[in-house]
Amino acid sequence: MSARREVQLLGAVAVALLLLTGTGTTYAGWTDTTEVGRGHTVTSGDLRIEPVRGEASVRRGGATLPTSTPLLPGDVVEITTSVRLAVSGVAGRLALDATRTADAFADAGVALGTPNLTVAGLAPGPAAVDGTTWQGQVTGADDGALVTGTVQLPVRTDLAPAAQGRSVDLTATPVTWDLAQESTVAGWHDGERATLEPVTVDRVGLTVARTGAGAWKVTNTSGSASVTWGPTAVSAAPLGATTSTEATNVLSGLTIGYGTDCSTQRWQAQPGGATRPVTGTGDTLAAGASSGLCAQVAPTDASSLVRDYGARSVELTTTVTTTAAAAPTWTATGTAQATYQVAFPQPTGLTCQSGLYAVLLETPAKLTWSWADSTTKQPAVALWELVRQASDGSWRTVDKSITSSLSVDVHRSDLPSDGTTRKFKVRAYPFSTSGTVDRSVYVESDTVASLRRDVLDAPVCDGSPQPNNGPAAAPISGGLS
Amino acid sequence: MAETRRSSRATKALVAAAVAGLLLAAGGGTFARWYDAAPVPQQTFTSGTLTIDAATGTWTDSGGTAVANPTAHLIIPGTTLTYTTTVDVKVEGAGLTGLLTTDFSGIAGTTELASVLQVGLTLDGVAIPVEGSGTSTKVTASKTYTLVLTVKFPGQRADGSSWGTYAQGSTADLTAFKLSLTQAAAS
Repeated sequence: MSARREVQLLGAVAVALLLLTGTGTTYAGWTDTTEVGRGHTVTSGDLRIEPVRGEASVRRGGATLPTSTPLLPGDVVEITTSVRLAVSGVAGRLALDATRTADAFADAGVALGTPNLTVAGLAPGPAAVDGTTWQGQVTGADDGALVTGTVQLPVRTDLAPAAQGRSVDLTATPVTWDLAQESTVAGWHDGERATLEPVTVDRVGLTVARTGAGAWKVTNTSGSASVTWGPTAVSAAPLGATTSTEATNVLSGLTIGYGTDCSTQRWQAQPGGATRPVTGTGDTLAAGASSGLCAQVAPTDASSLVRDYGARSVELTTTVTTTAAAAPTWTATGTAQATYQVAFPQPTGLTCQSGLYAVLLETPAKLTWSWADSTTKQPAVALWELVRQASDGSWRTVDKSITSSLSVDVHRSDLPSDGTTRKFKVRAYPFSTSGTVDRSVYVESDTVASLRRDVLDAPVCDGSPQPNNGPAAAPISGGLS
Repeated sequence: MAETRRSSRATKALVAAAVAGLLLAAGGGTFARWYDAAPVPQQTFTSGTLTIDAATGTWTDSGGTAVANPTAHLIIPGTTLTYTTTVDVKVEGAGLTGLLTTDFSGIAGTTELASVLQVGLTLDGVAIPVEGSGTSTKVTASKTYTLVLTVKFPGQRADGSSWGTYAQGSTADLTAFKLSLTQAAAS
């Protein structure tokens, strides 16, 4: 067969095969699909803590007090905090840390004793537990467990007085819970903070408020502390023209007692110099309570005191001391002040005498008076002065040199020439300094004598002395004011 | 004229062949003089095979411990869930080539857990893309592949910090994972 014929035959076979297979001109081929797995849901575990309770209190003896209570040495600040665990599919480590809280006390200068930390609801471990740190391991078995930590921070009983009034800001130093995944990776982590209000250490203090002459109200201003209190010392400072030496001597010449009222005495001033100790039985005051304080002051020897220091004034300063009833017996002081003046008498028995022969002899009239101790002329007077009432009613000094004779002459020249009556009285000035009389303090005779020129132009008494109604017509009674 | 004669002869030959064929096919019983017969060998044709079949795999945790129910297993940071299975690929046929293609979207949903899980896929130890089906693996012979699917919860955030409580108590769904084997057009 020729080559051409072979080609023709192959073409015919190809057409036949195409017809037999029936396939078209597009190519589809085989395909198969399988599903791997079925699609799963992946679920994650839990490692959380939920806060349940957080509170703090002050334990004092058997009492539980709010943290607003000022702290006293020996108090225990107790912090209780609870969390509930949510743990599934994972192991973790729960830690409670009160280190920063305890440190805050030290930073504030409030020394603590040994802290104590206990936890209920979960076993501790593996790390050692001390007074401010704790940790325990958690697993899914602990899911839902309530874990409660109690931190006790005792304030030292020998807390230094300088700690009084110190405030410990705990808002930035909470007790913290920390729950971390037990893993080498960072993993999950949750935490809670038991934030606390600031606490303040009490300050023992008192106020002394005057309620009258030699009477005061003493108040214990401590927030928590009961105190025993009482006057513990008294001193005297000079007032006006009184000298320091005189003040000290006046103080020495006084008998001074104190009571919570003015009818009883609990405390007495003891002998001393410029400051005299006061002893007695202390009184108790609760925090915020008040009591009266009354000073009872009298000359030990009135005549001597008046004789030597008549009219002298001193400021008596009584130191009042409170002492906390409990250790470490912090103390505070206040002062109660009062003025004490020694009594000063007044001239009495003013008498006017005029002579029968006044015209011929120009005999003056004579005024005489009595003094406290007319024999010794005590108490000493810096200046005696005779004053006469002018026509306008004012009193003017009559220039006279009056010695200690307790008398003065009134001459014709001391009286108006028209026979008008003039009133006379005597003043006693107790003080002079370097020869200068202190005219601010004086007393006058209790009566006023009247004199005039008679028809013979002689000074004569005009009737009996009449009562002195002037402002200084009384002795200085002295005493407390 | 010569061309006309060649065409005439070819026509005559085809006609003669057709007549002969018809005569043979008709098998007329009047064919009496010469007869001969010879057996034609019977011929069997067998088609090729292009199939893929994934066995039921097993889940294991980070420690290699079997996880019977991955849904009940709680995944935590720093751990990986691993699904291991075999895929039996049959490619039998002269010149037959298959393209192995994955159809998987990884993690579905917008939960916190879905946002942190990382999914990996290897076929015989060679990483293959998790999502989409754009990449195919050419297979020219039957083979049993090992397919490993990993679901990883990273131990920490990208910056190295703790997760805090993020993605706790959360769920994430793995989408359906399909493997397809398609006959490749002959090259």
